[in-house]
Amino acid sequence: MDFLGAFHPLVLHVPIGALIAAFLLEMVHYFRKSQALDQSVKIVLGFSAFTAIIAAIFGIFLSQKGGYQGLTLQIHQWSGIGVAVLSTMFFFLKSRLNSQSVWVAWGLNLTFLTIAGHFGGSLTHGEDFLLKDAPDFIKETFTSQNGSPLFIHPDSVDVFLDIIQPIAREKCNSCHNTNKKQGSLDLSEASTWKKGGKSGELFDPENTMQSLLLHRIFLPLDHEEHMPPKGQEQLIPSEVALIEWWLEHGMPFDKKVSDLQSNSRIVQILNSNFRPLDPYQVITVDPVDQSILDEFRANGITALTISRKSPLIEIRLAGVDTIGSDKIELLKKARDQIVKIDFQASGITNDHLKEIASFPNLIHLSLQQTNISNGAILNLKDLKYLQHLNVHSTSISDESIADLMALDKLRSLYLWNTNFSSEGIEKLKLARPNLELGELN
Amino acid sequence: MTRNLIFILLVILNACGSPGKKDTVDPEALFAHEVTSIIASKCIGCHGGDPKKIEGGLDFRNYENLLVGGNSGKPAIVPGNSKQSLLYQSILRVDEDLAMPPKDGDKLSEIDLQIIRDWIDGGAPWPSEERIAAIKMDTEWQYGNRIRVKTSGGLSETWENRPYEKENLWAYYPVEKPEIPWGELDPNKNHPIDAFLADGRAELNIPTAPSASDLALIRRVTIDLIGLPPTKDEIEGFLGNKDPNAYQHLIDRLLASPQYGEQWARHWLDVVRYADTGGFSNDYVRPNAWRYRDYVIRAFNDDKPYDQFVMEQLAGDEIDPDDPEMLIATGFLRMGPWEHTAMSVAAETRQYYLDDVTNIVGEAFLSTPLNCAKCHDHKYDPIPARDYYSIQAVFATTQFAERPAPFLPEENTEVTEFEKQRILDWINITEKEDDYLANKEEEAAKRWYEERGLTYLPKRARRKLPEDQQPPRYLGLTFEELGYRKVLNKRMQLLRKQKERFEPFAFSVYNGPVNIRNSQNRGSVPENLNGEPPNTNILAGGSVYAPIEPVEAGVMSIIENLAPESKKINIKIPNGMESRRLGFAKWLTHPDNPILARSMVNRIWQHHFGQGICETPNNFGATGGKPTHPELLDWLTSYFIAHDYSVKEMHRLIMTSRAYRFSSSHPDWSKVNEVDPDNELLSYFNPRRMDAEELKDAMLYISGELNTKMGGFPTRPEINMEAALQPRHIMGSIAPAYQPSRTPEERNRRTIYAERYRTLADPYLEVFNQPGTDMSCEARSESTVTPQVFTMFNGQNVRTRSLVYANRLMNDFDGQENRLKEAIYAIFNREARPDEIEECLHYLEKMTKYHQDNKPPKIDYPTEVEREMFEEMTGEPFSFKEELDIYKNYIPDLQPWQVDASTRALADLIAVYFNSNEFIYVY
Amino acid sequence: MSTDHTNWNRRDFLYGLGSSIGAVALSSLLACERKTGQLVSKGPLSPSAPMVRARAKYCIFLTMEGGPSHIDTFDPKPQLDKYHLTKFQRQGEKFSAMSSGDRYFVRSPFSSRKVGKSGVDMSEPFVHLADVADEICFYRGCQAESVNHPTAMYHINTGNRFGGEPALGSWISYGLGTMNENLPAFVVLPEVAYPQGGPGNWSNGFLPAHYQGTPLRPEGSPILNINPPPGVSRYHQEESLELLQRLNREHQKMHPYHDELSARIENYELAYRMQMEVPDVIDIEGEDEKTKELYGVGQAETDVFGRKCLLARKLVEQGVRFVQVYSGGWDSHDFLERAHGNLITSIDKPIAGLIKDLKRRGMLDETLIIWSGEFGRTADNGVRENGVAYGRDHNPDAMGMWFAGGGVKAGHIIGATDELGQEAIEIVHPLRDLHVTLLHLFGLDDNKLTYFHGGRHKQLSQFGGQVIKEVIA
Repeated sequence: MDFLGAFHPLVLHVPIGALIAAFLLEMVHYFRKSQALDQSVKIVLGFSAFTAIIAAIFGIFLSQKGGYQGLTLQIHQWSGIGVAVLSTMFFFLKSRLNSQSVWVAWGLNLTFLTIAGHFGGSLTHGEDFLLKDAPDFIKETFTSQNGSPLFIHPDSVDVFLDIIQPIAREKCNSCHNTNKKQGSLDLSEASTWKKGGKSGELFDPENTMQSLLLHRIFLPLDHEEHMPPKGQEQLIPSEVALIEWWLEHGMPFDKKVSDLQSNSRIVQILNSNFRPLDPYQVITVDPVDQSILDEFRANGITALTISRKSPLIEIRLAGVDTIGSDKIELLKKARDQIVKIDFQASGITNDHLKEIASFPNLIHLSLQQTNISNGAILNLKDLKYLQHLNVHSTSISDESIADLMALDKLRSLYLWNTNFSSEGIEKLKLARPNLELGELN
Repeated sequence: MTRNLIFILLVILNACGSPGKKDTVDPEALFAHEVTSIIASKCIGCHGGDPKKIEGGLDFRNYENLLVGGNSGKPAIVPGNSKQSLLYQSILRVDEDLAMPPKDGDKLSEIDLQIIRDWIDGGAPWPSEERIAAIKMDTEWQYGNRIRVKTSGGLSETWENRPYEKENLWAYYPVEKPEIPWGELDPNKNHPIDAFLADGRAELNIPTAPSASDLALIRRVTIDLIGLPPTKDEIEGFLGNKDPNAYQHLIDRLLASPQYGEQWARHWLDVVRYADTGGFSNDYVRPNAWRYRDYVIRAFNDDKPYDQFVMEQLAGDEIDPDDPEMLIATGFLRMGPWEHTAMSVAAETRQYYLDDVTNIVGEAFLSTPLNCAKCHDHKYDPIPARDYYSIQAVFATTQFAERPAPFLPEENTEVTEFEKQRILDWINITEKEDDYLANKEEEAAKRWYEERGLTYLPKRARRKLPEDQQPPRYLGLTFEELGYRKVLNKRMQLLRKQKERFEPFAFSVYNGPVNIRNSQNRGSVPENLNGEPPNTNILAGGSVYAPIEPVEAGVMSIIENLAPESKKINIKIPNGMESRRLGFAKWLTHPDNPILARSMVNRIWQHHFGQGICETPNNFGATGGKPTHPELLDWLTSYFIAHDYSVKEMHRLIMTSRAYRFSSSHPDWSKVNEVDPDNELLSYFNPRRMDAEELKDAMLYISGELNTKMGGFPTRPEINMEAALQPRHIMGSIAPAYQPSRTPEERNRRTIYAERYRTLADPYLEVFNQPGTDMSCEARSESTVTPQVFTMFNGQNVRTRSLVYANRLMNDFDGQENRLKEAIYAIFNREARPDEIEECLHYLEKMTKYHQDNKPPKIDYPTEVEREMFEEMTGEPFSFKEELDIYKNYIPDLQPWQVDASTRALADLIAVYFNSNEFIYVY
Repeated sequence: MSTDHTNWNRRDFLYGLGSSIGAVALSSLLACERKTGQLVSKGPLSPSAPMVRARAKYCIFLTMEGGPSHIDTFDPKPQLDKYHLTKFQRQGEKFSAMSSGDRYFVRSPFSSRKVGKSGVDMSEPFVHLADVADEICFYRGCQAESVNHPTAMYHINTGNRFGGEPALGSWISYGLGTMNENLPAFVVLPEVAYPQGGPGNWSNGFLPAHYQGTPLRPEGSPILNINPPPGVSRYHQEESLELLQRLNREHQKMHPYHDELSARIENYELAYRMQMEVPDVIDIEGEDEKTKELYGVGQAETDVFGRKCLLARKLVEQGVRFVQVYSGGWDSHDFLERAHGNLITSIDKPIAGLIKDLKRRGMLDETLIIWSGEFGRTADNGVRENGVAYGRDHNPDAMGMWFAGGGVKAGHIIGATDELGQEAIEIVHPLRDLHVTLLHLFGLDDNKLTYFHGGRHKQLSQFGGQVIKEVIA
């Protein structure tokens, strides 16, 4: 079954070519009516319907093999089957349809075809494969640059969090993540890296070069155990060099680049193309209209963009005793642009936080010296960029450990003067070793 | 055939390029004449000037590199298409990150942008060196209204032939007296100034405001000329006077009043940064600076011709060294902050003085900030560094001295016995304390010698002995005493200077070789003054350690070169030891000098209308404002020179114009705000807030406390108590506390006579925009900030004036209603309105009741203050008591607990009137 | 802090710190500056975005007035022990009277050791600062220009040696405004006596009056005249204010187009409200005992400076943009061991407490701390009054400073001075580059942060400089 599945990528190109050829013939037939043409249209249409069915079946085999899932797969799957069904029906009913509905049928067929084709491609080559190498001006129009690139000196880059994890996210996590452990190996987090997978630990201290991770990477491309598997996007040389460099230093999870010796090649790689996952550059939103910022100001909300050319917004409501729901509603006008809110010593409550948590791009959230309670943290769980959370001098306690652990993107968490027990804090430290807790480094 | 002929003709025409017409300008000529100098001044610095460091990989020396482009990978120049050329896009500064040159100050002018665009669109030709030289032979080249001018020669050759926009050089061209544009106005029924202003408003046809009411007019004129509000009698006298020339008589009366000099001297002292102390770390008192302040007041009162006023301030000692007035006048040259101590490097403090005096002469008399040309040729005006150092050479032989100058009969040298005696008492207390400590040390030394059986030697003698044969330093003194001793010797320095204040010396200068003395002691003119006059060099980057080439004393070369033969001043400045300043002063005050008279006329106009014809009185250059009415300015200037530089004559001329007498409200506000928001065309009279000094003097005048005595030693009014006792750090010690003068008569004088410390400003004056004393102030700003409220609403000054005035009203009038009507008339200069009277009476009732139940606390003045500081040497904190001798014998102003409840209530009402907008604004 | 002002001459009328009036901030509607007629409606102090994303939002500048010796604090010179007391001559036009003539070398009275994981040097009187060594970035390559206290103070504070120009705090408030518009953007906590050069060190120079530094006085009225004079009660003020505003409104009807009138009317409303707000904003008595102890408040040698550091954190926490804290008396020409010893002890615990407190409150990464004097000191001293003075003279060519938080590279030493500490030799930068770097950390470009005055676009660094890249994380 797997064997046949592997032919899907090969077979599926046939119906695409055939269907388009049929359409072309139909066009020519339309201008210069001739019986022969009409006949050949039918033949080619039949052929493409047949091959579409086979491609669909192989596709289903391939999907069982695993390694794909998620929304992209579903769309690809149903549109693919749709092409097969539609082309066969069209083949049988063509002679009975009047001239307009013929064109309608062609339209339907071709749209389904393009959908299936596009999503199939992004499954194999990653979402942005279409635009990745587009010339600059196209890329500019489609992905808006916000703010000039922040000059980050490599020395403040966390080796695991900012270099290795982004590579894993791009090249490995599609098969090795929390809910789909290919070879029972989960590479989504420091702790799971350490655990390793079915064939043992990834790192071998005595003999670094022979470590399982490097071994699998260096296997020849078509070797069955080569990682990432053939057909998936391969590691580029600089990524391999970085992983090797990381392992040479004992696969550390709490080190900064400046803590490791980096040879000139590594420094060159870091400077040129490796930016840590900096949400400020990843979030792309349109700027909010100035009138909204003025409206904020008029209602006593201090609001300004993080830099003159950036659409991202910081909000300061520190010291404001009554945070009425009117203020929260007002803030929603810029919910995508708001990346930082300072509620220090304000009247913010748990259910206010429910609303705030719906702001998708929040990176900094200051709740210190307020009377939010343990339930508050739960609301924040699906903030995918939340890196800095400050809850010092609040009544938060060990009860919130689980919720806090769920915030996997967190890089700094300030718990001073809260009801957290020292064991609770130790637990947190163990689970998230490189989380900044406001203790002296 | 004919078509080919025409075609050939066109080619030829195009090839040689007829100069002058912009649109068919030959790009090659454009490159040779204009583009090369733009690149040289704006680009080559970072792109090719230093071959080792080429920014952004873009080298403006080689054309191919520009076509390919630098690190950005985009071509800098796309011949024929400026839109695509990155060079053109970046100099347009549309995208902030790309903007070139990086600094806003260096951005290219409109015309330069146009040139680069035309050049690139014309194919961006880059002819060879020879071709450029050939093109440059055509000397009549002119692009737009830009011209080339000759100066004494810039440091760099490209600066030398830099083009200037003609309208930026307006101030350097000689004054031409223009015709008065009467238009259809009848000359004998209209005023020349109104004709010029009407001409200015012609195309925009803005309606003008009606005339101000007589009431508003007398308040405006009185405060404008003497800095004090009109009294009730003066107002009633003026309103009642039916004589058609009543207005002229009012002006003449005010111009004749001595208080006119006190008001208008103040504007001049803003420009020259008058202060009674030297600033920096010791802020030494300048004992005789006050005589220069009185000289300026007398000059305005006597209507001394302005050119003579300038001559005396620049070269009074060279005009007549025996006339004290002349020596006093040269105080101008030493007004800037300056100090030389053992800690400072002599060469640097000397250079600091020369830079300061050159710049103040430039700003005050030539309306040109010269310090821009200190480090390099001026970036905008035709002033080469060579001119800057030539003018500086005029002052190379100027040295400092406190020259003996007997007091003049007009000078007020009164001082109370108490004030003089207290300084002598202080001196001997300090000497006694110092001797006590010295003896204590000597006793310890004596004991030290006896223990070792050596013969005792006094301190001076034993200093040379090797270490083991003399007692350890400061033996016998505790660290606390050590610190206190330093305080004593600093206090002695200060007291000696305060004593010198009463001696007849002038804060003056003399000509001689360089002689830099510690500013702690008084300098006299040395006997032998022979020796080579010090030479002056052009300094690279303005650093005294990097001379380039020597220069002789000289003037602003552009003025000489722009003047036609008939108007050239050509006065040669002597280069010997003597009369350099006299020569320069003669050049400056020569009637053909285009700037001096214009600069003063512009200042007079500015203080009448709130805004100069050129809005930057200290800067007539390219970066300053352009005159809104250039012909009017020149006409006024010719009138000023024709009337023997009389300032009072200018007041009469300006104040009798209708424009000066417009009301401050306008018939059609929307139109004027839309067309002329800054009221540059003066279609109505600009309201203004009273200056800091005017506010303080007006309250003293209204309350009847003002002692109108003129001139004399600086007085010390009451200032905020906490600021007064605030310790002021002077070089390792603390300056004595500020204590007001002992009696009300001494303290309550006009504010121009208050002692001005550079390190302690009167908070009341500072918060109402009294300018600092470091930089010349061309025009005061008028900000509205919260501390003004704290000062007026809570401050002691307003409370005391209100109390004294209330008390006077209680005695002179009966019935609260009459009193508050009198107060409203005196403070707002109008009759009280019925609704007002009713509200104020209601307020008085409530307040009287409140005061009956609440007795004010009795407050006494502190008689000593404890000082605490870290002793510099040991870092140990030590404290000492400082006796406040004046407060011990102080005669305070009237205090709240000395009057009854209804007087205190009336005082509160008056304080409200002083805080109101109607009092502090002049319409 | 007694709030009884009824009696002027109470015994502890010890001294006042603040003298020149500070321009206390206004709400955005009220501030207006009459500049060529047009009313700046949006308040000059309302917050505005930096040019590029900022690494630091607040600054606490710990200014050690007098010139602390880098040799006896963070840049030890063991070589000097060899040359101790050897004599030599120095002449030259470039030297002041004080630093020419016969000289002799003086070794450091303190031993030094490496501290923290990053192994940075600290002289032994620094006890508490050692705990936070890994948060600090030491910079040794800076050079001043002036040998004289007041001109050197003006230079580091305002970029121009001769005074009259805006201070660093004023430039930053001009560029970014304040995050809390009811508090000044730039606050100064001066020493017992003002530093040399007086209020010129925190002046707004040619910038509008709103950007002037506000000196806060720990005793007496925090801002001059903020409390009504003795005997004037709140009822009293309310009645007067009500009548005043009625008069002003009546007057305004006659001059509807004179726009400053309304600004001045609202000015009185705000001032009245601020009389209550400002005092409790700066009251540190409310802090808990443990925090006070952390800063050394209540202990004799650290109480004064401890209070100021605690107040600095409290002001920054409430949105004040720039706080300058002064410690004076570092000019040790003699008795170096005693003077520097006492002074180091007086600042050691408070500064360490400040860094720990900021870190645990999650404020350190956005708050830039600077510790510096106006110049360094020489390895040699001049012969004075016939004896050996164990002190050092002024040295503009080498000085020691450090930074913490606000985007700097923690736990590093940047640049170096020669082996006797006379001159900076590695990563050497003039003082103006330090200013450009500080502005850069605030997301401001020195070339673009300009103000037109006296005929040119003036900037803090006077004519441009470069960013000291090595210092930035």
